[in-house]
Amino acid sequence: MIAQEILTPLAEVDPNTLSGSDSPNLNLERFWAIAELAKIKNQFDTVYILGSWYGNVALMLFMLERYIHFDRIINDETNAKALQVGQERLKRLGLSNRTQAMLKDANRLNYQQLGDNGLVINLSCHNIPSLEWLDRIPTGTMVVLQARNQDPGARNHFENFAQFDRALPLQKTLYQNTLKLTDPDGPYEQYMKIGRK
Amino acid sequence: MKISDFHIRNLDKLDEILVGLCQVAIDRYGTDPNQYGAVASAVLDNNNRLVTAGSYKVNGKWVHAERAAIDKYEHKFGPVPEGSIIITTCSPCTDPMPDRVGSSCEDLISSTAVHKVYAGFRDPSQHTRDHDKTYHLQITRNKKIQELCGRFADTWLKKDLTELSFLGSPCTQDCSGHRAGYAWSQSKGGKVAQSPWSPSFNKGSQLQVDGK
Repeated sequence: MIAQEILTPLAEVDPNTLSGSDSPNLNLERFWAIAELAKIKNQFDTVYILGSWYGNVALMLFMLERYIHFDRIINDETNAKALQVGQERLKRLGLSNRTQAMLKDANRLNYQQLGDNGLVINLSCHNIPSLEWLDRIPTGTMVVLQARNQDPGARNHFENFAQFDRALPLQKTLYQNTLKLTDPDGPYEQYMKIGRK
Repeated sequence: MKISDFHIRNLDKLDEILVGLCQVAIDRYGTDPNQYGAVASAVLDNNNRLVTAGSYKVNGKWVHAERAAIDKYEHKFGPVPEGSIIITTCSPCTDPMPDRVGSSCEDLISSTAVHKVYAGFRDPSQHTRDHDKTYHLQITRNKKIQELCGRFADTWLKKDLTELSFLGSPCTQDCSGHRAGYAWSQSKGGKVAQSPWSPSFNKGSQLQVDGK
């Protein structure tokens, strides 16, 4: 147990800190997700962001708000500290009235606030244990899913796009692609699917 | 030149192009980050012709996005005409850079008929001020797009800070002292500085004299 506690931080690709959550690659991945989504559909009511961390995806959504419209964002995260810091960050920018912080395991969400034009974003499918969270998303909901390979700290390991695709089946896939990126630990791939659950 | 040559209008359209350029940048960067940079530029002429390009590597040196866009435009349509605008996710480079193809983007743009440059983000790592530049640089006033373009620039700015070295010489806080000394020496035709206050300035000038 002690060994695990010592080793876990070393295994983290992007450290679990505010600055670690703002790494250049992560921001490019977020932009990629929203830019591609906006080409498919750009009007949403409630947006659930799973594993919202420090509110980084929400910030990117607000940054691109002219191109993608939404009523409100629910940031779902199990790290209470990160959730609080993220909400304070959004508050400082005057954006907290359209965001809600939800401290809840994504595998227990029931999407009560999801409307007809809802959207669920999970850009770290490799980091949320089990895949129950996907089963709980109502059928037909628009989703944006991303995961990476080569992450030693991952809860779900995906070696390639095919594995990612099989593990996260969608009723209809509208976009799928892979980004090849490099971080201090070496090259890795980021997979994305946009479609209807 | 008249002052009206410098006026940049229809900022909404230019901001929209900037977001499109971010997309161009990621489409290329995401295929091979060692071969393509996360920066893109465009030439927009008076006939609304838009030519976009991203930075890329050739023989270990970077062709900056502004150069790539101008080359591409000239290849397609001939010399970039007066009244055209260069739009770029990051402001044109001004400092000496050993890993860049050709002169600085500032010098390159000044050698064309372009008088307007519209950028998403001002590169804080560039310090050289060339009073001969013949264009007006305007950074978008849209804070969200500034932030977005800044995040693309982070792909190399944060890397530079992590590496903390300038041409192999270790830096303490950032590379500004080395860069300034290097540029100063270049402007003096190759001279080693003897500043009692800034060893990094002296070192930068020495690196230039050493032909680094």
